[in-house]
Amino acid sequence: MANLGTATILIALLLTAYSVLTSFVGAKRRDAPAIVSAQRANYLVTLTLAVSMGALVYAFLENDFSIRYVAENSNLAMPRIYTWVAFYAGNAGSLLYVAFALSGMAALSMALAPNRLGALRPYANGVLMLILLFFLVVLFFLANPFATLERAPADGQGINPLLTHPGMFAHPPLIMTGLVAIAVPFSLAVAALLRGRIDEDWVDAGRVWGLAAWVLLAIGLLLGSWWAYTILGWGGYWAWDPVENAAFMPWLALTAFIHSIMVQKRRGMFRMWNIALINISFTLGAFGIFINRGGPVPSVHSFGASTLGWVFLTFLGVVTVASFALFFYRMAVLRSPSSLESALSREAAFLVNNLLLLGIAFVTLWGVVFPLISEVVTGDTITVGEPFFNSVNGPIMLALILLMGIGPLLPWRTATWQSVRRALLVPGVITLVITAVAALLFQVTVPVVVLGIAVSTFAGISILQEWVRGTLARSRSTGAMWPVAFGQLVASNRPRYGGYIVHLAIVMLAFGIVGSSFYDQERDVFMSVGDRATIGEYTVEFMDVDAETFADRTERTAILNVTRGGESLGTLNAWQGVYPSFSMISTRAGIRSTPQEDLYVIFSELQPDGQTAAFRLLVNPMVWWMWLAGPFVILGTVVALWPARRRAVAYAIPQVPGAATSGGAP
Amino acid sequence: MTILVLTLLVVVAIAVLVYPFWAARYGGVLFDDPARDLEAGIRRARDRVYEEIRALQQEYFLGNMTESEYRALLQTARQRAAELIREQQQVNETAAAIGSRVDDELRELLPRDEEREEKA
Repeated sequence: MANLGTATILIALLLTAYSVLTSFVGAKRRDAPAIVSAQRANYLVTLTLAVSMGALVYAFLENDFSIRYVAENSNLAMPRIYTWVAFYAGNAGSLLYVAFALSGMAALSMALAPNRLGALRPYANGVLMLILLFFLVVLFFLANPFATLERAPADGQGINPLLTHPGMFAHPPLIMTGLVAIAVPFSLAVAALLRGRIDEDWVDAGRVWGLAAWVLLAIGLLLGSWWAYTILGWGGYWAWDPVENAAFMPWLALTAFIHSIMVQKRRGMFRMWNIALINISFTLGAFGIFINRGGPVPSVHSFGASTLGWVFLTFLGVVTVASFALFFYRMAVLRSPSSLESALSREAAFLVNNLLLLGIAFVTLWGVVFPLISEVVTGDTITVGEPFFNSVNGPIMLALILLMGIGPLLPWRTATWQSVRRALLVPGVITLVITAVAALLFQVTVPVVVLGIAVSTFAGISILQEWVRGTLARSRSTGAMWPVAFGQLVASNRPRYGGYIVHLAIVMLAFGIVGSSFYDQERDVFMSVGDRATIGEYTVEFMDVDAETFADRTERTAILNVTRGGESLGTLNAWQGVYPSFSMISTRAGIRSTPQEDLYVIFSELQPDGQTAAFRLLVNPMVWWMWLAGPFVILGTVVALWPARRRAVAYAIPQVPGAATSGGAP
Repeated sequence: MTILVLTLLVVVAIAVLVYPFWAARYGGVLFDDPARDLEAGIRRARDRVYEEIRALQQEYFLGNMTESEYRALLQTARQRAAELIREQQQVNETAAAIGSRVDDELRELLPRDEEREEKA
């Protein structure tokens, strides 16, 4: 397997180099056979890397400890189901995965590229293959997952216990795929710059692939938060950790891009801005890979030391300089044919949204690089903690959510204050009422929380108002029942209404974050079997400890009985695993989750008597809503990406006196 | 097994990569065609204006703009659509004129060829 794996990586490398060369030469010489051959080399790389991936999976399944990577990341006791997780538990395996994901994206993007991309296609293929070439060179020369040991050990070192969690099956691959998927819209933008014609050719495909990368990162980030919440044992889900931030920053830039590209699609504006945004997104993605795989900063998410920092830093430098040099070189042809007509328009709202998103991204970037800069300048590592991120990014995020409520109510081109006032009146009044009632009912006195509730409610009500008004109007004009009318409304403008579903998910996230950040309760207790402890309205009784020994670990489960106001809510199991070979105790919190709040119990320490244990009890309000946001993000993105088969049904537009069109979409 | 898989992979790869050069029957669809690009550009701009009109109707329909705003913006969009249609007509007429001129010149050349064949 080691020979097959190494040989397939080499073949993939040669094919990629061939594809780069023939793509650019073919494009320059207008040599159609060369261009087609280059594109086919792209497909072959995916096939070859699939064989390579298969070889590594097979080596794990066969416990082939003669391969160093297999010996370092698995052992005989590892359940077979975690083979997939062990595959990317270290640097070399994850780089092979990244190369495969990138080649798959590259092949898919070229196979699905619309005909109108025409002359852009060879350039885009060349850029994608050039990026892939970098990963394959690193893989073959510096981090070969098929490198062998002189003597195979009888057993391997095993997989990091923190990785044996259901979230790990999807979280790392989604984040890695999301980061490299940004290469597709980036390659299309660079192709347009190389070709020297920056029109709307790349916009549709760029938007689709931008959205694909965005949703992969969004779900990856949510799964990562869920993993941290259930396994890291500190009761939180987001700590502004460098590795979390590394995926969050490109997601923010991509969020700006997928909004801004709609303006180019609809109005032909923001050409220069969109190219800059996708450059920034890709650069931040490369920075994310540097942080993830280069290991320059310590993180709870780092599972293996890396000596490849300088390689990824060089890649980051080259990508940043090359992409922006090309951008400035083509600046003259990047000007849009139309410009912003009014500050009171949807385009302007998109622009402000973009600036706020980039603001959060750059504040986060500063927080991530500050320890590195301080180390270089002063010799001491000064870390930037949660308070910095929360105090700077929190207000910007609130402004962003407020804009999420206002933006959709503004028309394209221009609006008057009168129409804006009218559009904002109903959501504004409802928001005031709901906020006042919530503040009184739940005794909310913290101004920031009141503001958070108001802003999130306003954004949610704006979306619901759009849906209700649209559904009622459509039902009136077509006679369809409300559910049918709602379906027709969504189908009439999928990007818009898919976006609203995602916005609703963001509102859920906002409620979850506000609730859990300001109203969480925490208590550390020691309990012997039969003892009780209270937190909030809950009483937790420590019933028993179950212990089971496996080859690599001892599992202990604390069984707790939970009551609230005398009413039994059932039992809760808090788990811990002791891994002697890793000198580590891994925990799984016992969580009772409801829309109102989570009761969260961490089984942190068992005394030698086996009857007394330390527990951390927490009540985290509204966290449930954050996890519910995930399916809504996916649903909204699918709706937004769903191709329109035909032009949507026309509205029965009321006759406008003096207007020449009486209705019906053209 | 390894040798077999690798040999198969290399043979398939070479065949797939060389075939386009051997067949060499891929036309010019991959390359810039200024006339096609111009026509496509106008078509895209017109689609955008139509999309804008549809969005305007939707906004008016949803009550996000007043009647006077709707009327003014609709009028502007309609004018732009008309300009684009005119532009497209001009492009088509120019292309047609060039085509007929090419036909005329070919017709002039054709009898000479026939005469030459007759002489031969």
